[in-house]
Amino acid sequence: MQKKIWAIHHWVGFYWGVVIAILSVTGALVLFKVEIDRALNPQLFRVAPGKERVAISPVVERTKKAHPGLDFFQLEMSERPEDSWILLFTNYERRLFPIQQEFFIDPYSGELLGERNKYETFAYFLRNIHVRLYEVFWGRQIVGLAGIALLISTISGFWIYGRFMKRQAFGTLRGKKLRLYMADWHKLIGISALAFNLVIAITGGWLGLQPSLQKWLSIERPNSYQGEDFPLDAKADRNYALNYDSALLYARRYFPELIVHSIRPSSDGSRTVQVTGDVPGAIYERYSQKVVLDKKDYRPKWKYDIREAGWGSKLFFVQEALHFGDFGGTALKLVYFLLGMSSGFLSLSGFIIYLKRSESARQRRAPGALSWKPLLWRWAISLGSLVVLIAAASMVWGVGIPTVVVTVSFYLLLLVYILWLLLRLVGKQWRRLQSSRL
Amino acid sequence: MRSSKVIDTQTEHILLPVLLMLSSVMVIALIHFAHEYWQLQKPEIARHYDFSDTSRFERRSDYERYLRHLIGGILLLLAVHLIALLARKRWLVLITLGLSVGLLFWF
Repeated sequence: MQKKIWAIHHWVGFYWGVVIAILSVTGALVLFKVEIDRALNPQLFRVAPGKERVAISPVVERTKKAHPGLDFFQLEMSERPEDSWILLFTNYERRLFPIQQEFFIDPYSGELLGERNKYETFAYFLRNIHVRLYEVFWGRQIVGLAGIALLISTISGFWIYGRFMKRQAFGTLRGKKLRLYMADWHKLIGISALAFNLVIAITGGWLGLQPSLQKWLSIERPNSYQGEDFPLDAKADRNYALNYDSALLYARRYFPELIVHSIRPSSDGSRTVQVTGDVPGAIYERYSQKVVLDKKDYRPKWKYDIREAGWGSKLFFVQEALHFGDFGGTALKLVYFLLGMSSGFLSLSGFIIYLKRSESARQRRAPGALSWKPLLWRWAISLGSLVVLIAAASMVWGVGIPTVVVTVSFYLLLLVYILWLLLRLVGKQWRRLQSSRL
Repeated sequence: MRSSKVIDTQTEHILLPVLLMLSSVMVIALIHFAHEYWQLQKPEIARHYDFSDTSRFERRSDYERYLRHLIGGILLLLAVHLIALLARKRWLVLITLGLSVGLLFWF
């Protein structure tokens, strides 16, 4: 049993370690996605607070008129007086170069502070590499499987540790040999971050596999509003002269605890406007609360308050907040950052232990084979360069080009690897056949 | 001869990691409640809280007191965790494990 568990820990780490390491580092960085974006672009996000905010509707209409090739998606706002408004427009017609254009507005003057395509930002790169690895078909599911791999690795690691540590006191570091030293650090960090890694593995597994699981198990997103009547056609709905200020006023009246984040008009003919945001003190996915109003008379049509929802819905929306540490401000994100890097360290130390242990066998098989250190450096530099290249391509051309490059390279490499395995297998069988004939 | 009061490697392989696991949960909970307390001091966020006779806390001061007690309780428990980890006394570890589980269920 012990041997089997050790083998599981070994093989899961061997095949998924690299993915877990990439997700660990990108995950630790993506925690600060918003903060990094704000620090890199203060001129877009920060304004000098004035006395009164301007009306929203004229600003939206003016921007819509200036950009007829873009579809208005939503207005994003903040309760903080020093934050700008963001008007988000989209155009997905050119599939290789999709647009999510953000217009930053000074809420006190209505002045345009700047604009950019969200797909070309560093913040989007961080999010997309962590969530999808820039693989278009199964990227999110691969990330979800890495979550399951981390879960198996954590549980099997704890099992192995429990048996092993009956002989060695907790926290002991044997410093004589690098392999033992690394193995002891591997255990110490693994056990210290055990609870955290379990949470990250379970929530990450769920979040990654969520789209497929929702489809297979017919789970609806608990806060999605399904319009029953469609009084307008899609075009008329899109062009409806909505008074955003009134919508905001009524939303606040019907849902006073809502800390408003966005106002999104419908474009499917349902003639509605969704005002979404958060409720204070809740540990749930951001912007999952909402009130849906009729565009015509601002009558409330639907309200989603997580505090009144059932356990299933609460479980659904707690995943993302727990995974990204989004319920305790910057201090909690720092703790998450440190603990999040632990799975990267575990992958690295596990890889070093493996390289060190298999070094003599490797050199026996192929004399002059690289020792563990240059081999590790080559791995690190290659992976690092790949990630930097994806980042650069993403920030220059948007999401399309790097996604195509990663997807094509991934499946080509996979194909070559499978072919190589098959050829090796056929060769082995052929040689066996030949020797039996002789 | 080993003392029964001091935990040995046979028992610490399971007790101390569990204590460490609970400590990390406590640290995260502590930061969450401290952040909540801090948010409550911001007027633009505080106005969204519902302090009415229908809610759990009728007054803001009640909620603040509740948060302060939680934060204090967790801090105290973390201190006991630390002492238990350093002293490696079996009874202290067991007490602090029980207290942690109790507190976790409470909030």
